[in-house]
Amino acid sequence: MRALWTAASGMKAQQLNVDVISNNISNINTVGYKKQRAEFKDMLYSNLERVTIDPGNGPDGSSVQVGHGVRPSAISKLYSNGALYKTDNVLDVALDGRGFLAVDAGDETLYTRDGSLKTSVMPNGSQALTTQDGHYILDIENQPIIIPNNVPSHKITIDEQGNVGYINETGNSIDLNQRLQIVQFDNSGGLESVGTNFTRPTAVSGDPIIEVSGVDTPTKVVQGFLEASNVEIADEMVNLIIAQRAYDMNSKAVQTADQMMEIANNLRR
Amino acid sequence: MIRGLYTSAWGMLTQANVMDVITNNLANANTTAYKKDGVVVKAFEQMLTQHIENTNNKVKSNPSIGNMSLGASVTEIYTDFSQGMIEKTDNPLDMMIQGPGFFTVLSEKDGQVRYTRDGSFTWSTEGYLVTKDGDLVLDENHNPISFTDFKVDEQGNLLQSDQIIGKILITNFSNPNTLKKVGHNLYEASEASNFDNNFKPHILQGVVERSNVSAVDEMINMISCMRAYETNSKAVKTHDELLAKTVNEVGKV
Repeated sequence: MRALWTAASGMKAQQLNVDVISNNISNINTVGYKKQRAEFKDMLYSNLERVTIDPGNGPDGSSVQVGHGVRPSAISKLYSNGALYKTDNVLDVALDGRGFLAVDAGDETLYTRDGSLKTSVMPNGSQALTTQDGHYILDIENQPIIIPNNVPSHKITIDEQGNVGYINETGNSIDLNQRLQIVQFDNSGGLESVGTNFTRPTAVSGDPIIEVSGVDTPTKVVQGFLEASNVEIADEMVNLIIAQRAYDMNSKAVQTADQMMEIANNLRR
Repeated sequence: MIRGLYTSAWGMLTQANVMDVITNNLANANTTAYKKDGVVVKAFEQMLTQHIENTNNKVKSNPSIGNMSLGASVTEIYTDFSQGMIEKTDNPLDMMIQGPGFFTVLSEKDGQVRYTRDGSFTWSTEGYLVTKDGDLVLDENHNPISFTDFKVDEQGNLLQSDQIIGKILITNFSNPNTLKKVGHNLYEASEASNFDNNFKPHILQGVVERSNVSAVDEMINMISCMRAYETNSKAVKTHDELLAKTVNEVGKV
């Protein structure tokens, strides 16, 4: 009786579905979070009766196939833009467009949409622009962005193309000739998440394309704003209800298969 | 008929053994780094059946009818070493190996080296790093570890203020199916276990590995096992009634 294992595959698939949905819900307030969706495929079919087109000599062209259940085929990340909300923090940047900020993570470069920046002191004493956990933000030359030590963080300016500057004591804006490195990917959905809001490029996502070299849709850097996560709570709650009911129905299939086996056993009292 | 009785009874016994393995898995559904067991049930060797006497054409011959199997039995109980889920505890003494590999411990009771996936360690009263049962965790030189307040990086190096002061010994086997479970989350290697020397571990700190038992799978196996047991018991009953008819009614005067 195949029904038992087919229904079990359905229950496990819905368990995975609920895992993904609950991850989305728990990250509803994470800056720059992109929601995920679990996708499923049906499993291989076994032919109970092969299709033949042999008039008068066999089955008449319709096949009898039984499937073996469902399996997860992908958990895809959806890169739509989240809403931008105003904070009063001068060092918060939001990326309005498809771009990512480049971050120095030791032996590799990682990319993030999380623009909540701060300044940190480097080992050589100068001040650099970093993420909240201290990784350096890179400019278009792949170097950390250095702010002169006498500039307080609330005087730092970042314009729409990502040029970093500051306002000096006399109120003039000085350009530091450093520009934030913003990259785009051919296929953002292929990026690998490594946790703490960072992503790593893979063979599927393609290499990072630096925007300064000219892209179709450049990203606008908006200072003083942050990008909220793109999770829609109504969608997630509805998906949760659907997943729970699907789990319920699969468990009913298991119970029915069990009862049918019981009836077969009780044919002989 | 008697043969059929023993075949069905053996079938019930087999399903009872399978049930034992399933319930053990379910009981350990929440044990740290528990690896579930699976059962392989195979049919017995087939027996050649022959006519006792075939008097066709007035010539005696014993043509064989075919093969008959006399039941099934449990041939192998294997351990499934697939990775369990990560559980974050934020306890710096909790560690987890991602991928293959085992922590190496010195057993307190008999001084033998054992292996475990359970990385929830603690300090002993003498200041050594031990498992929750008191077995000493070994470093690369097969010595117990007695540093306090360290961090563990991904290769298992122990870091104290960013200086490497030691390395946890992670052993890997090219054939982990030769390992035997000896209780208390420990495994024992046998002579047939081959140590894999070109092995790079991947360790995480502050997390533990959960059991890899899937409750849904075990429940389904349990239902299937129970129905097979029931079917076999009906077969036993039927054999019994056939025998009763033979014994009680055939020879009746």
